[in-house]
Amino acid sequence: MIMVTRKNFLKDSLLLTAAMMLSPKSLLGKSLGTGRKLKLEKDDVILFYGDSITDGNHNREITAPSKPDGLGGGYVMSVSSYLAEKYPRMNFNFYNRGINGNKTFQMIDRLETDCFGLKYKPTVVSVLTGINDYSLSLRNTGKGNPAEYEAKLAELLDRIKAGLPGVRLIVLEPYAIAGVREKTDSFLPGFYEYQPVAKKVAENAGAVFVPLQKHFDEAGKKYGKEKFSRDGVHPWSAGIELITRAWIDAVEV
Amino acid sequence: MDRRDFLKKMSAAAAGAVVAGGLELNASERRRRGGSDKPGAGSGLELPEGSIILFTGDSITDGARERKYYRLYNHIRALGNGYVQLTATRLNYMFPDRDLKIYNTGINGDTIEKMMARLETDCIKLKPDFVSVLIGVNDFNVSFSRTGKGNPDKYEREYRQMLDRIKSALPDVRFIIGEPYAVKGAREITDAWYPEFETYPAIARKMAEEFGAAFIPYQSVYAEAAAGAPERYFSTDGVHPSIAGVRLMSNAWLSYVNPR
Repeated sequence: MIMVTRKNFLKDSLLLTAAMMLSPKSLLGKSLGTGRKLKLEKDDVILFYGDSITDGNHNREITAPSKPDGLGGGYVMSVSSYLAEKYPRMNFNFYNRGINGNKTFQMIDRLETDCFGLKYKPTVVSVLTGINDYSLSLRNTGKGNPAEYEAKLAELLDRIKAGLPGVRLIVLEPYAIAGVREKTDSFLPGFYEYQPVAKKVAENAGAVFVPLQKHFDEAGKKYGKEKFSRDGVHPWSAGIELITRAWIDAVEV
Repeated sequence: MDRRDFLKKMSAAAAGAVVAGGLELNASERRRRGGSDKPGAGSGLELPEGSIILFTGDSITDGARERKYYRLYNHIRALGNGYVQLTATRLNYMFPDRDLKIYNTGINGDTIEKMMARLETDCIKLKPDFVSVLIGVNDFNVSFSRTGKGNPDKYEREYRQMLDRIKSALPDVRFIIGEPYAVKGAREITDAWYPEFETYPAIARKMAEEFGAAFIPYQSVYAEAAAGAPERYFSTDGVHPSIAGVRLMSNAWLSYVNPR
C-alpha cells in the first residue's frame, strides 16, 4: 500500500510509477521516456537499424520490405507483425537492417545502401546501438568511451535526418542485464554510462526515446533475470516480447 | 506428476499468470473467444510448470528455422521467423515463471507421411506435453496435382495413425490442431482447389474432436481478417502468411488455445 503524505509526495509518485511498471500490462499506455509518442502515419516505411539485437537472424538476401524471413525472429518481426495485422489500411512497410556485431561507426558507414538506398524511403527510423561500441572500447583501452559514443550516435542521427528530410526517429535505450553471466558482469559496469548519453542525444535530435533498462530490471527482479536474457546482452524469448511491447508503447497510430 | 501436485502447482502459477497476463487481441478475436467453435478447449488449456510445447508441421510452421539448433528450446535460431517464434516469445512473456520449453520441428513441404518418417527424433524424443500440429496443404496438393482431386481418406487414416503413435509413446500428451487453410483469390490457390480441399479442414477438425484437442480454425480466421484488408494482405500466395498473417495466426493460436 502506498501512503501519500505531503512530505513523501514526490518519492511516492515515483514509487507508484515503479509499481505500475512491475506489471507487464502497464507497458501499454503512455511512454515514460520523453513522455511523448511517435505518431505513425499511413504509408509509413519503418526502418529498424542496429546490431544483433535488431538483426534477429533475418535473411539478408531478402531485400524487399515486410517479408517475414527478411524481418527475422526478434523484436523487429514482433513489432512489424503487430502493426501490420492491427492496421491493415495503413499500408505500413518494414525493413530490418540490423547487423550482428555492428558498432555505431559501422552503421554510419553503411547508410548509403542500408538506409538512403532502400527502394522505399524510410519515413521512420528506429535505432538501437551502444553495447558493441562499449565492448570495442573496453577491448582497446580497458574502459568505455561515452564521449566517443555520444559523438557517433549524434552523427548517425544527424546524417539520417539530412538524408531523409522529415524523417521521424526512435532511439531505443542500450541495455544490459547483470547477474546472468559472469563474463558479461565483469565487463559491464562502465557500460551504464552510455545510457544517459543515448537519452541525451536522442532528445537533442528530436527522437522519441524508448527506455528498456528499467523494464528488464523490474521484470528480472520479479521473475528472474535469466527468463529474459541468457547472456546479459541478447534478449531471450520473453525478453524479445519485452522490447516489442516497449517499442509499441512508444508509438501511436 | 500426481493430481495433488498438479493442483498445487496450478494455484501457485495462477497468481503469477494474473500479473503476467495481457493478450493483445483485436476486436474480432475477442468476439470469437466467447464463441462455441472450440472443440476440446473448454475454458482454456492449462500449462503446468515445466511444460514442453512442440510445434510441428510444414513450411508455415518451419519459418526458416535453423534445423541444426532444433534442440535449443525457446531459441530464436531454433524457432524461426514465423508464428511459432512469435507465439513462443509471447507465451514466455505471459508465463515467465512457468519455465515453458518450446520447440519447432516444422519442415518445408511436409506431408503427414513425411512427418511420420521422422516422428521419433522430431517429436517423441523431445517428450512434449503439448503437440501443436498444422499439416494438410501439401497432403492435398500432392494428390491434387497428380489426380485433380484430394485424397481425404488417406489424410484421415494417416492423421489418426500419427496421433495414435504419439499418444501411445506419450500417454499424457495433449494435442493442439491447426486447421489447414487455403486462402482464395491468391496467386497459388485457385478456385479449382475447391470444393475438394474442404474435406481436409473438416478432417483436421474431426481429429481434434476425437483426440480432445484444442482446434484453431485458421480458415475462418483468415477469411474474417481478409474482409477488412486489402486483397492478399494476410497471405500473398494463399498458403504462406505475410508478416500480418504471422501475427494473425499467433493471435488465433493464443485465442483458441487460451492458455492458462
